Amino acid sequence: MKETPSRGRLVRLLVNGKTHSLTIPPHRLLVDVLRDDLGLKGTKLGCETGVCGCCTVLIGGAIVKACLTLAATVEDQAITTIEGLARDGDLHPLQAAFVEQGAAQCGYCTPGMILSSKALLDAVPHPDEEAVRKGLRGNLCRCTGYVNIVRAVLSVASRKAG
Amino acid sequence: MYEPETLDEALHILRDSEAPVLAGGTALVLLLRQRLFRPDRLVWLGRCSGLDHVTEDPDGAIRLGALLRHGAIAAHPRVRARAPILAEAEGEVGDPQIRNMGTLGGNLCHADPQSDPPAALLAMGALVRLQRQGGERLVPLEAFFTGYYQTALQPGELLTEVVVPSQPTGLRTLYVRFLAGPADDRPLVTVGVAVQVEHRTCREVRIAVGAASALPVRPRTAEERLRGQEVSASLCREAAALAARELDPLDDLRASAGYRRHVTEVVARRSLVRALGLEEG
Repeated sequence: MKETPSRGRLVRLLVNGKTHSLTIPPHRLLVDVLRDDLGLKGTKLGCETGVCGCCTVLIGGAIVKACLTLAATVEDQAITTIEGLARDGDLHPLQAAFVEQGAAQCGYCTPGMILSSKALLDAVPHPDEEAVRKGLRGNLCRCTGYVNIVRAVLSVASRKAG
Repeated sequence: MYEPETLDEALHILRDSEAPVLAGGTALVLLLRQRLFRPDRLVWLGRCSGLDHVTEDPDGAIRLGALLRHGAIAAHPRVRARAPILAEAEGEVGDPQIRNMGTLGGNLCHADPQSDPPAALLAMGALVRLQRQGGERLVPLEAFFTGYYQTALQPGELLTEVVVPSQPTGLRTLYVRFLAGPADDRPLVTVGVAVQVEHRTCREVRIAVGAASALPVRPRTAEERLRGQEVSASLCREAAALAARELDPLDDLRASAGYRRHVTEVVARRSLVRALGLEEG
């Protein structure tokens, strides 16, 4: 039976297509491993209680809150952070849409918002406004009032309809 | 952190260890971070196979593995067909991320009063299977919750399955959740209703009220008021008043007991009227 001793064990983390082997104690959070061990600062710390969603990452295509995830429990699963969206310097359509629509003010919720939006569109390619708002329920924004965020997501959704 | 790969391994560990069980982590990891308790070890069930099934028995009962995520239950075609009230409640839990992470078994064992699944499950007369090394017992969910964040789970036991018994044909079910404010993820009051009406007479009725008190309850005086009676909006009003009266509501920063009692009455009345297909009188 596998066990993670308190001092840690070697854990294979697959992040944005790259495999990292890190010694991780059982209590370490995924958000801290991503930010501090892997230097991926795009995933943010906000409420640190699983409410605000700025720590959102994709695991196997599904959004989760990295501040509530013990890193050792996501070994061998495909983790995508905001840094993993752009391809060879080209912005992901959602990133471009957020820029076009002015969907970021302070930008702190933005990585989580974009990843949640990506998960939504991957599951529901043509959501209506209500579905977009429901899909983003786990991501709070204190700046924008959500209007431009929703507009950005809908603009990508309607493009896909072409 | 123990990482058992089979139920037997897990039960073997739990027989001798008081280590808390980690499923999805949405409740436990938060408690650990807030230092509300500091266990030496955890038993993580993420590698444990065989606890994420949705099975329909020949008699029509649905059995759900304890490690099923809320989102998976909400989307499962068999659950949507056979127990739509549960699919609906599961689809409201927390937010999309929490629904991808949290499990039904974890939710029930954590027994946070302000939770969605219990009222829906109580309205279906659900039971839970509690297993330990060398034995198991099937406990009605109503008896499983024993207090504020407390359950009947004994040391060495693991909740492995939720059983939704087969339901009478023509049963109409409804799940309603009331939020204190639009940004809230947790409900203030939840109501689950299951009714069977024949020629305007209420043949079978189950009302469940969750979130408003330390444990979810079935207000029997309200059910008795309806059972065998010709349905009407005014009867719903009486039953709802009885449900509210029977409640022992929580009183805290989120809302006073009086407010919870009042909201329960309103939500129960509206739910009954809707479930019975009546016009509000």
